[in-house]
Amino acid sequence: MSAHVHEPRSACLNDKHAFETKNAPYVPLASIPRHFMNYGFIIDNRKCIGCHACSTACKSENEVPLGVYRTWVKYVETGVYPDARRHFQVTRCNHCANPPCVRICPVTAMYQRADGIVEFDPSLCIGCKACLQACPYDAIYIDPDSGTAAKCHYCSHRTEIGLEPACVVVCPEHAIIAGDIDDPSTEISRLLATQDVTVRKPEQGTAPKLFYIDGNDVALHPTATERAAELYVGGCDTVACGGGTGAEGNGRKGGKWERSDAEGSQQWDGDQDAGSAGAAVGGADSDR
Amino acid sequence: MAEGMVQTVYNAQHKVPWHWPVPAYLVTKAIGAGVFMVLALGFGLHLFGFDRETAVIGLLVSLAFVAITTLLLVYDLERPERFFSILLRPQWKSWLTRGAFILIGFAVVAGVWWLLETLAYFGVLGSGLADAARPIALWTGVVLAGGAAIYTAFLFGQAEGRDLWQSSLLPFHLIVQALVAGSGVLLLMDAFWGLPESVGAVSLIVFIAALLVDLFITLVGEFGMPHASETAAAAAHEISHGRYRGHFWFGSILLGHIVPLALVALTVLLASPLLLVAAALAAITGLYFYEYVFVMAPQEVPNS
Ligand code: SF4
Ligand code: SF4
Repeated sequence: MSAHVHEPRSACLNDKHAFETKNAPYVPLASIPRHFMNYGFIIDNRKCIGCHACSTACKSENEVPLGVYRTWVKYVETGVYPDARRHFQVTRCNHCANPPCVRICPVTAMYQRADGIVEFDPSLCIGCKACLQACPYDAIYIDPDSGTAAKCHYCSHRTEIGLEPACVVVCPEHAIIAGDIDDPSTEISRLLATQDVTVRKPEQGTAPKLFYIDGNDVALHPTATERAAELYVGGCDTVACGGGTGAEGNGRKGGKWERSDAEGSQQWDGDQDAGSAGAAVGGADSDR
Repeated sequence: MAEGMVQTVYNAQHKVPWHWPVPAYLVTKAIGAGVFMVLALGFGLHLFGFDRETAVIGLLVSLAFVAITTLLLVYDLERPERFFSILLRPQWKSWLTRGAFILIGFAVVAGVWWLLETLAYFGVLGSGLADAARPIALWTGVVLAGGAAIYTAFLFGQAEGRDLWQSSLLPFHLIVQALVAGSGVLLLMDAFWGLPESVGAVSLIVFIAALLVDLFITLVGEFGMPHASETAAAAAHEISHGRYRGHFWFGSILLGHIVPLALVALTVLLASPLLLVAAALAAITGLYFYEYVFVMAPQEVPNS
């Protein structure tokens, strides 16, 4: 198989010549049969500056509606002043090798391609939301315009013509590395071979193919933190969202898809007493 | 912030995907399957003699609740007009698909049996055909009714983002809930239509036994044992001690179990059929409360 080594880049999204380097001529990924590919991501947390360029590039590239996200940067703060630290974690579909979202879909609208991308087909989706329940990573949402499931699809429309996902190209730090994890000559394979990596919730047995270099335990662990709800994006009709900005709330079918929710911060703690649990998530009506 | 700050300060939030139609569907499905199971097992095991009028009314009630179940399932889809895709391009590994076919199979068998008994009841057909078909319809129907009651346990098992739903007790629990709901509805039918005495008596015994077993499974099995994961424990905690504790303790445990058992006990002193009506209604309402907390709480534990 041909080698395709990608150097750090910052390029116009559609300029394939921007990918050429002296050492490694541009080899369109589309020229490699898809069944020989196994796409994955590395997020290099040593480099990520939390700038959200990936989030916005994804929104723009995939015309993602307001209030829903295919990729976003989670911020977690730890420590005590002056030794406090903010950790960034780019969060999205992991294109799991063993995807429960695919197994549960009753109509093959969520499916796994031969090249390892977990893809969706909005023309088939019936909007049963079972895949949202099956994904242990909150990677799927219902598109408020079409009423169908959607998520990161590895920019398959770009990958098929030899371009990298929009988030990869736009990242100013080259903190997102995409490529074939089974081809030892790719940058992603070399990094996987030489760096310590972690994945989200390995115990779920889903075999995520998004790997974090320098992954932060707290950020990887959704129930480990307090949640300052007023800083959340997504409006106030969501799980664990309190007095949020409300700027991007959405609700299909006049609120069929809505709920009001908690006030204040939230902390999941198996030992918390009834009173604190009530304060954490109370004041809400979860009915439609 | 306090010493040792650990907080998420920016994140995308996620809407709860399933709301009241799902717990409601669990209750109507339990009634549809439960009425059939109690009647068919009663006839099949000769716990009570066959009575055509009871079969006609009972099967009709069962079919009506299966129809409501289907309507709730379709209503909960974001694209209900595509519902038939499940039948036209099924993905067989999905328990949603398997469940849809089990429900259809159950409805077909119960529907054919009901039609034959109804035609025989009104004298349109001789009773020979209904009598010949009955053992087949009855036992096939029992298997399919059991399948309809428990397939949701396997669907919930596939929902790997909700650890509390991964309970290995769930298939058994759903069968017991179907027996509570089915026998409860038969007690209501007895009060309003007057079923044969033996059907009412067996229904009452099933109702009491299933309620006691259900109470035990709920308190000891689902909530008394340590949970396999932290997210399952967090969801269970929300149910037993958190925002759903009112629904759980007052709705499910008190209204759904203690009250009906107490009302049944009271019938020993006051032989009023109204007490059994109230007991059945309380148990079915309590079942909705239980399904509601069981469906909602795990969806509120963050996964990202
Ligand atoms: S992260 Fe979620 S949506 Fe993506 S493949 Fe895995 S289970 Fe499916
Ligand atoms: S919401 Fe759509 S993609 Fe997800 S399981 Fe249902 S039909 Fe499949």
